[in-house]
Amino acid sequence: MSQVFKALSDPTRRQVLQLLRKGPLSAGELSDHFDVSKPTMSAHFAVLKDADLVHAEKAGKSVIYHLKLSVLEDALLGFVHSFDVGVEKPKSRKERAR
Amino acid sequence: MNKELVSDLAWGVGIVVLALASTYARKLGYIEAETVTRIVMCAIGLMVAWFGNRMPKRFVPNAVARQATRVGGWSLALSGLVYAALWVFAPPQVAVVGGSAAVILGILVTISYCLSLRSKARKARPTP
Repeated sequence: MSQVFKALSDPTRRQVLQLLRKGPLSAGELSDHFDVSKPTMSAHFAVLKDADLVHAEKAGKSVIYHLKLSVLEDALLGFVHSFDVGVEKPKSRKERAR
Repeated sequence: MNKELVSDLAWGVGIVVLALASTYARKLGYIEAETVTRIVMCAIGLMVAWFGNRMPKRFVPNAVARQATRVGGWSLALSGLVYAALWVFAPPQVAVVGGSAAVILGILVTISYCLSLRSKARKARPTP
């Protein structure tokens, strides 16, 4: 459970989980939403995988991430997200390019 | 052995042990017969909530099936918690009717959601 709290403590990881709510996404598609380096994103994905919050599936050269939340974890994510109102979300590369 | 299977067996064995221990406590005169029923029924409600909680965690390769497990998990977890709470706080008659109604409602929500997903998929499918 401590791994789950650790995973949910970071806004980038929470944002990744929120993006995955809409459906499975590849590592590249997820990384495009954040202005951080690929190794940093890989580290975030590893934390989420260790906490068993996402399921990684290899599809050719890319890795597809699926959401894997229990009801309690889902409620916890929703609860933490509800307090995120004032927190500045990481800007995506597309947004920064404008 | 599979971790999931171990936790499932632990729930089953735990409830039997709890029932035997509370029956023994009743025989010794520590608790009343109604308390034994309440303890065991509350444990069953918590077990339903636990299985509901774990339901969306199981990975299924289909996106629609994932949606169904998510809704089913939430409805089962909530109805299990209602069942457990009623057996702790409500009068026995209310707990029997209300608890059973909560679990049946949870199952009905899951079934109707699955049926609605199926009809949506049928409508979306192009006719030959």
